[in-house]
Amino acid sequence: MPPFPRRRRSRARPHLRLIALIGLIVPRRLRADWRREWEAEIGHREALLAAWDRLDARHKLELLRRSASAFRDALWLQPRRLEDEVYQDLRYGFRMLLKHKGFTAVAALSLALGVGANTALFSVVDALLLKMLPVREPERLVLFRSVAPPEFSPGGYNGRSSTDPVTGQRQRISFPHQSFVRMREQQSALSDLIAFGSVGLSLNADGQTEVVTGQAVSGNYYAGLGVGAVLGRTITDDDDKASASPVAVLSHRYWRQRFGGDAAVMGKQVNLNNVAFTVIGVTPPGFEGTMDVGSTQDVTIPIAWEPQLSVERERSQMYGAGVWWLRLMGRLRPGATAEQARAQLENTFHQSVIEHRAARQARAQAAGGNAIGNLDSKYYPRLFLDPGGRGEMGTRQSYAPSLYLLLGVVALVLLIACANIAGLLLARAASRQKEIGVRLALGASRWRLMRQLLTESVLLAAIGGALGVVFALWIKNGLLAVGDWGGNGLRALETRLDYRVLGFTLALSLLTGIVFGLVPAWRATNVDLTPALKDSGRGSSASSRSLLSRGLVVAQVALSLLLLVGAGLFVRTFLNLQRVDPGFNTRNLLLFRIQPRLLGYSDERLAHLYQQMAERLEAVPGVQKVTFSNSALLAHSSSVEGVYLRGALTAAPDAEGRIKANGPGYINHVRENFLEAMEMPLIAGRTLNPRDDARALKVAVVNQTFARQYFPNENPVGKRFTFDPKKPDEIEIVGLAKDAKYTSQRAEIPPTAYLPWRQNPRAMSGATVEVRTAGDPTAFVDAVRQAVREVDGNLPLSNVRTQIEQADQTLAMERLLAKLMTLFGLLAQQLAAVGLFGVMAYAVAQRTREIGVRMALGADRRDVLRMVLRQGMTLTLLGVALGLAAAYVLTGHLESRMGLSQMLYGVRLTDPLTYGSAALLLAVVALAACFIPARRATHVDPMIALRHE
Amino acid sequence: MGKGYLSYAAAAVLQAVANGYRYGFDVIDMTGLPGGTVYPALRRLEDAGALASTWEEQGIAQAEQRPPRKYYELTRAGREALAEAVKRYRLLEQAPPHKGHDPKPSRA
Repeated sequence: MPPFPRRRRSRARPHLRLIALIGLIVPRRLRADWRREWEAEIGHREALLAAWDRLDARHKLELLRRSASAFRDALWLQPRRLEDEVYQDLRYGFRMLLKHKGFTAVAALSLALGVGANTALFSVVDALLLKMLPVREPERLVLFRSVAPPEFSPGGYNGRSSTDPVTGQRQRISFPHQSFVRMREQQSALSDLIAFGSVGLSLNADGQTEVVTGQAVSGNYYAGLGVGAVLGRTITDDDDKASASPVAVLSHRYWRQRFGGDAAVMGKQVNLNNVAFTVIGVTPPGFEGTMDVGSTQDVTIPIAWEPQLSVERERSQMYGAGVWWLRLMGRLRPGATAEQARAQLENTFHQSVIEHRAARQARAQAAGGNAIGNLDSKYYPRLFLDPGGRGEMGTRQSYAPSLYLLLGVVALVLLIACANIAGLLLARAASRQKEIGVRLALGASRWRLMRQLLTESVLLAAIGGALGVVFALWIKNGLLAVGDWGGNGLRALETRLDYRVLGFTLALSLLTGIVFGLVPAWRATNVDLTPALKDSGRGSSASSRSLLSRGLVVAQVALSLLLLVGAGLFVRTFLNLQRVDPGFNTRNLLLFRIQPRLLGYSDERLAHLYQQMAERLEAVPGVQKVTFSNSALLAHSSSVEGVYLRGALTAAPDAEGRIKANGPGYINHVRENFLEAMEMPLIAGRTLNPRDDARALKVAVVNQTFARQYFPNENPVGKRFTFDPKKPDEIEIVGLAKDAKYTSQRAEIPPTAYLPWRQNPRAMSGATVEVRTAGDPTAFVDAVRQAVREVDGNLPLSNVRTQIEQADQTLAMERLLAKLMTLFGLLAQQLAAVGLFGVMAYAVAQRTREIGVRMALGADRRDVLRMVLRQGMTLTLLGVALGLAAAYVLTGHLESRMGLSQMLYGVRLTDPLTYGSAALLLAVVALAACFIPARRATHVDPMIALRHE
Repeated sequence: MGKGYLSYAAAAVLQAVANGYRYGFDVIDMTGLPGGTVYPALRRLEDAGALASTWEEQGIAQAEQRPPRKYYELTRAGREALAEAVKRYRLLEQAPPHKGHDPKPSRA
């Protein structure tokens, strides 16, 4: 209709705008007419009112009312919406999908698996590596660390540290209390500076004692983080004074686990290391402290009370000048940067280290021990600030490569799934050519047809995505169950399905539907009408279309080969590690840990306790041998001291005034029968015996690596060395033991010295007890507990496990990787097989006529079979070759990016056996996938085929 | 016309249109029913074939400088249905006279 002049109104016409607004819900097809009708009526009414001069407020309101009644009309029209084209498309799409159930099932399942695996794994990775702490504004938090040249020594240091192998610079994450106090006093870009450090605690309540993970924090810890208490209150600055009464805060998890979530725990008196503390609060669920993820701090006390936790004052981390034991975390003021804060605090930190060192010097002088020399300021540590919103990342960082590798794997699986769907969609679109040709001929627009095909693929993707949500939940639960994601003792990893990730993968599946529906839809409608309408069944673009689908299959095969090779490498790594000979007998060995020092045992009482306990345990029927050691074997735990030979002691001291050691010595304080009990063969000399006590001369039994490193080409028995440069030649080697693994199966055997426990009782504040049993060790757990209870009813046993379980735990990450990569590799292979099957089935259908002709011309069934198989296997072999090349290139790339070979053990990155087996496996499966369509081809009846169009 | 009785509202609407109140808002004024009842009734009747709708002549609308309105007319089937409905709904017999003049301003 031509436009006509409208009377201009200077005022707004809400009644017309209301019509326009309501019009939005009218089905699009009817919208224009509907609006015109209503606007005309309202406009006419308005004109009449104007003509009668009745256009006052009341009548305008009445106009508005009339407009509003359009809403009922619009509602009434809703059912017409179903006649909209979009709905038609959807209904048709559904019918089509239901008609080809096999196709729909395969495509939807493929996508669901790909989407589900990605979401699940990403949720786990997110929880492990990416999630922020549940505190106020975690983005504003920064973690402190220091970097110092090797000449600098902090004195005592508790915490992780790492040395740069190239520069020798040492990175430390713990700080002395002195530094904390000084930096907190200073005004800076930080609004809060908090400190926290680990403490060993045994908690005694209601007659039950157990070892808990404890931490000591500064008074402003909770306030600085913005974490409140869900019950009672948290620690404040007033509590962080030696004059205040001792208080403790429990984590929510521990509160539920130990006290059953009973609110009566408020104000309860509990004994921590035999000192009475009052429980004042419980933190909210989800807050697990600021240390590594999965490690939850059960009990928190103020730093001021840390010295009270040890019976011997010297064992406190605050004793004297104090050791470096506190982690520091700061909160940036709004608008401030970490660099600003760092620059402001650097000098203060430097000063505090100087003060600390001076205090150590003063004490050393007063005690008459080693003098601590002066140090040039250029050797002092420098301060660095890192983003702290995720808490401490230390152990988690070691998983990062494995997790990112897994993410890459599931991404590939998704890619294969998408290729599968694309291929399936292509094949389907091709088979509907006639239908499309007819519709085009009847006047359907190309766009309309494409939209309809696109709707189908989007629908398919939506179904796949919805199924993917279900799969994501299952797979996530499976992932958490199948592996100890904590690996090295981290526990309490909870993940919920991340809704961001879910949204992402749903969007991904929809995108897949659109993208991979687009190309087939485009090609399908790119049909030359006449051949399509003829019953020939062959379109003009058949060859290029089948090239695309064949290319997709080749790509799928190549990608799945990649994954299979990866799986093979990691499976072999894991099996190799499992088969490593640890050098001792791991079978029938029960392990548990005790920490009597936490209960206040003094040195003599300790000796008595260990002796009694060992004797009592030996009396248990079925127990063959009982021994104990400072560090458990194959548990990533060790003690290292510097070894000084006679020659080193005559060398010149370094900048510190210290003498350089010859090298490291891994020590383990053990009971006299350790070597026999663990069945480590003795090669020369003798083992330790009870006469090697505190009054006797110091002795040690060393392993072959030690002997090779420090006494090459000579018998070490009778030779001497020392750990203390002030006491040269203090220790005599009395025996040589065969090499045995210490910290893990993977690590190289270090130079190890086994020292008699009686000669260093200070080292035995905690120990792992090893019990050799006749038969399954787990059957002895109760008897063992009972025996220990009889010796000291209050002494808790922690970490009860068998040696084999311990060894497995150390390999947890490798096992997990092997399992998951195998799972995903096989999944990928199945997807590729299905893709291959689909393409071959379609190819056979396309070539039915040709097969008929061949058979008519004399080819027998074997020839036909061979022909089809050859087609399929060509694709497969092409894919395999491509995949092998890709694997070769990719592993090289990953090696340079993240040192992939470090993750392997006993197998090279280009191991031919692995590559070959993967290729063979894939080829066999592909052969099977091709076989069925090939067989179907042989059953073609030439008579029917030649008629077949 | 389909089977089943015409509702009173639909019958009233039909009668209004028969009496010359062809435009939607006129029907609303005439019958006293709200727009949310009248319009769905008009559409239902049109779907059922009792009414036929047309847009006003371009010329008329343009002359009066307003958008063209849609108006409804009774079909033969509609007339039959109305006759039947009038027999049932006695009230309809007392319908007001034919429309002959412009509608006066009213509260409805």
